[in-house]
Amino acid sequence: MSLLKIKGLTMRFGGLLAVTDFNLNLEKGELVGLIGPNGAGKTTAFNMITGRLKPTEGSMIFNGLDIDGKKPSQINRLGIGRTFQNIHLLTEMSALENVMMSFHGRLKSPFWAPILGFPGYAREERTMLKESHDLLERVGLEDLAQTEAGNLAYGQQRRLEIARALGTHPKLLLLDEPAAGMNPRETNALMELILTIRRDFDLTVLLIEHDMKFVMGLCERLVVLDNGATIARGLPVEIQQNKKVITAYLGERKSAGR
Amino acid sequence: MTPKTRDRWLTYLSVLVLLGILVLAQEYADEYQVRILNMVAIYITLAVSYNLINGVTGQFSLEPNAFVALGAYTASLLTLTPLEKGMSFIIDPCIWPLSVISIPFLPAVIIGGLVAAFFGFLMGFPVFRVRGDYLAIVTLGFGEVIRVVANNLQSVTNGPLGLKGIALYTNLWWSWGLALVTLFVINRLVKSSYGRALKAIRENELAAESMGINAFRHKLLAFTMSAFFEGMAGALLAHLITTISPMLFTFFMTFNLLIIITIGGLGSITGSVLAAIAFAWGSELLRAVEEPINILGLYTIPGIPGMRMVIFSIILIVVMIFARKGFMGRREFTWQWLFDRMHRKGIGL
Repeated sequence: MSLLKIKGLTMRFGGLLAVTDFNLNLEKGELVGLIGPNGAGKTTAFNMITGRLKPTEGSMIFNGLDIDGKKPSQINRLGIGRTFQNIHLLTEMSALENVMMSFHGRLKSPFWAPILGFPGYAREERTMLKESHDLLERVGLEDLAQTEAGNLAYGQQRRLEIARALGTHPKLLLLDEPAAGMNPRETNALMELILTIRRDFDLTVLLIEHDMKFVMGLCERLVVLDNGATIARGLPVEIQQNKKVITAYLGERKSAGR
Repeated sequence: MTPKTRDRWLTYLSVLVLLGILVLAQEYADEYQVRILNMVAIYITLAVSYNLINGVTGQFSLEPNAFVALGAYTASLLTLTPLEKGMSFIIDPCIWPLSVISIPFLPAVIIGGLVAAFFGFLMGFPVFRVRGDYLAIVTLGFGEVIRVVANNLQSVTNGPLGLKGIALYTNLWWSWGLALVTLFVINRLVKSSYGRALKAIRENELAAESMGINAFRHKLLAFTMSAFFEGMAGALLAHLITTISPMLFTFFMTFNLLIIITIGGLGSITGSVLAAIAFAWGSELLRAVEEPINILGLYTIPGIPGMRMVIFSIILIVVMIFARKGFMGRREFTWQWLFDRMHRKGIGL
């Protein structure tokens, strides 16, 4: 059974068709890239999957459950974690607090437990703290645990977002341009990080990225969007040769002399 | 001794010192001073609970006067004796069963808080459908509605005549007891994972939602809890001033609280406490400016009622210019901070 099954997903903003008839089948453990020129509808597709946008048409089945119309927080708790293209951290809270936040959705203690000092809550808080430190260590930010998230460097903020998404214990991780603004060295480290977390956390990954070297080197399978429509899908080598894809990115070759 | 246990003992110690001061005040202070101390405690309760929704959760709302009114009316109607109700309700008689009920103070205060919390909970559903400016307007409307209803529900609230002859039950133990309980509960909540979730909603609701935090439920929690404590503070206020009418619960009450939490620092509990003390005390000290002032026997400035508000507004403007986030910002006073400061000044410990 596939982990995520998307059928005929369409998003219409007034007269604009941002995404048309988007289909996607993600098998458990896959690492798939979603690419396409700017404005192709990639982030819109992410926003529909994570519940930020309600699709105009189509169905989304995650892990056997219909997630269409659910709230972002509900979808997250079902097991879809995400990062953002334009980083959304809690800038005035420490890196550690940012990661600890991601455990809150699964907290069992009710709000009066910390007020009355129940030991059950103290236990949960300790687990939260320990796991958060572990996650920070994973993404290489352990030394910066007490730094305000807003004061971290760009690449560090991106890694913190990944740690935070992992804290929600996702089955499926959606990464929106994780390598944007990173230098080649950071990008290589990120590729390695994605591969190891996929293995260690048993993840399925769907990512959007413009860095072709990154995408081609990392993803097992690609889906290409252009103007909201899916124009190609297949292995990275196939996509590199695909005429439609090349046209979408570079434009049509005009015959000489005209 | 770890810094944590040291801080805990220092907190216990300062509570003890406070209790000592209250014992002395009860014994030696005159009625006027005791009244100010009571008002300080009630303002602390109100400011800290109002700050939970406005500062910590970052949901700019303007309704505390409604919750204070609900708590004050509920508790007063419950403690007034049937005889007093019969004497006050001269236009329309008080409706049954309120007309025959009379219960002790403590349950009345708690029921006052619960009624306010219940209304807060119900109001949360429509008001948190909107954000920002819209939220402010909707909650402002709610505050007005409660006041207008109190003005017109003759057979329950006695309308514009208000309630008279409420027993003077509130003393220093009640008012400071409630203030300490409020501080304890809200401080514990804010420091817990729930508090972090509330702050996360303030900083970036989108991020909070994508991390599995149900923003609506948390806003509702903060709103209901602040309504609960505001309601109880209202109950104590009614039994302190012994006469209440709808005129007492206008938007100005909210406005005063807004000044307090803004000057103290939105999101800072200790900031709210300090500002509440300064406000309650300051407004008594500033009474002088509303009386005729004689300058060297040459010229007399006539007393101008409302002059205090002008001065508070000027203070607010100055604070907003020079310390836009209030004098505590989002920081909290901590013992550690105090020790660090003393250390820097060379007062070793």
